[in-house]
Amino acid sequence: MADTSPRTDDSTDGDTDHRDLGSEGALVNTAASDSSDRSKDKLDQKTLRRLAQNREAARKSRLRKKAYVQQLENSRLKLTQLEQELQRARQQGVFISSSGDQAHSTGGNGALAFDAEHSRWLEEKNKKMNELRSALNAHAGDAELRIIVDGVMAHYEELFRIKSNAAKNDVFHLLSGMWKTPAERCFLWLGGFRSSELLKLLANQLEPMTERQMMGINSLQQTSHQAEDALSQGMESLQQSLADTLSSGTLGSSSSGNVASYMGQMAMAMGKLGTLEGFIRQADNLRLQTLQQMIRVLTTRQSARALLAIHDYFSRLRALSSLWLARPRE
Amino acid sequence: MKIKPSSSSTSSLSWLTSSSPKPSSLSSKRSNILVMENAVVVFARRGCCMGHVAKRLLLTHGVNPLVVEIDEEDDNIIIEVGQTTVNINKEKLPVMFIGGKLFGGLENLMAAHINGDLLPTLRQAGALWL
Repeated sequence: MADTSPRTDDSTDGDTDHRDLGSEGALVNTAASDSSDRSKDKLDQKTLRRLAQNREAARKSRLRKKAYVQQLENSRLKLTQLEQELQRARQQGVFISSSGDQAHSTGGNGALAFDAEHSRWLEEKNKKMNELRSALNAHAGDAELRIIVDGVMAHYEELFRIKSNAAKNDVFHLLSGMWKTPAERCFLWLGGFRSSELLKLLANQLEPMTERQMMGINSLQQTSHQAEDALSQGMESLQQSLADTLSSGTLGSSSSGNVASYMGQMAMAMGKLGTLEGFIRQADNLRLQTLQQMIRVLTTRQSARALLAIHDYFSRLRALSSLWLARPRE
Repeated sequence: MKIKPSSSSTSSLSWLTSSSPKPSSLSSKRSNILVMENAVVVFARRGCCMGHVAKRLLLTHGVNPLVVEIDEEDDNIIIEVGQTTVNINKEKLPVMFIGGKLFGGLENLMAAHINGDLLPTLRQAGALWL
């Protein structure tokens, strides 16, 4: 940015010089022709002074113009910068205001608190993963890798603890995935990732694996998929029974005698909604169990690579989201 | 799927003679019999979807568990297996019994399913022969 402005200035300045020279040049020419012809009408001091003043004024004018153009150029840069900032703020503003509304409607600012806690968690995770990456690149020993891998696993446990606490406050915020980027939300299942899908991605990244490891990972992928199905079916049955509860009895009638039964219905439905929190907890339990089992099947070095691959995958999803949000729209 | 009570549980029938705890619609005695006579029992709140999840998970292994539904008005379940008394808080449901022994909640079932301990446990309990 810094080197473009002087160049632009020069070109504008050049134009200015030409135009200035147009008027001044005529004067200078007369002066020159006059001075060449010394014998005749000598220019008095007054004229010379005027010419000098003229030249000086022109020089000052050029400098002022140069400064002015420089100023314009700076303003232009600043404006572009501000526009970019505004756009970024708008994107974030939409996100904050929507999650804010949600927090408002579903009790307290638990959602905002969770979002903040989650982004802190992500930052910490980035640090841990960078550490793991450099240890892997430096061919660190298994003992050293193991410590970092255990740290990453403990960090995942921390996430699930945070989520479980937040689910008590605002389970719908967690289920909505509004705390994740849009592309991540595309893959959302019960407030997080599907471990069976992650394992599928990993299969090609962990070569070479022994026969036993291959079987271990395959069967883990299968069992976690079965557990996901069981939870999904549980969610379906929850929705079904919620719908049944709400539509049972006197749908449509509004006589005052039904107030009690209406309230009873609502109380039952509330009880059923309360189970949602359990679903998040169980889904996160499944995620944790799957990661832990994956690490049991793999060697320390493979575990490190697997955790990195998972991390990189999510980083790419987030990067994709940023690109998507910044895409030109028109 | 029914099995004969395992050897350890037949040795003591203390639940028959012990003074009955608080009366409930699902008597402690009946719970005991159910737990003893069925390889896999799931105690769940009536209509609870987590009980459904536990059942589906067991079904993927080819085990059809007995699901005992607990009503809102029921008390906590007290089950005596041998010398030990298991008191199950209704808040902790669903709870699984495998082979007449307390297995735990859905978390435990999920963990055992993932780490591969569930199949041997089910086989040992006689819920699976394959």
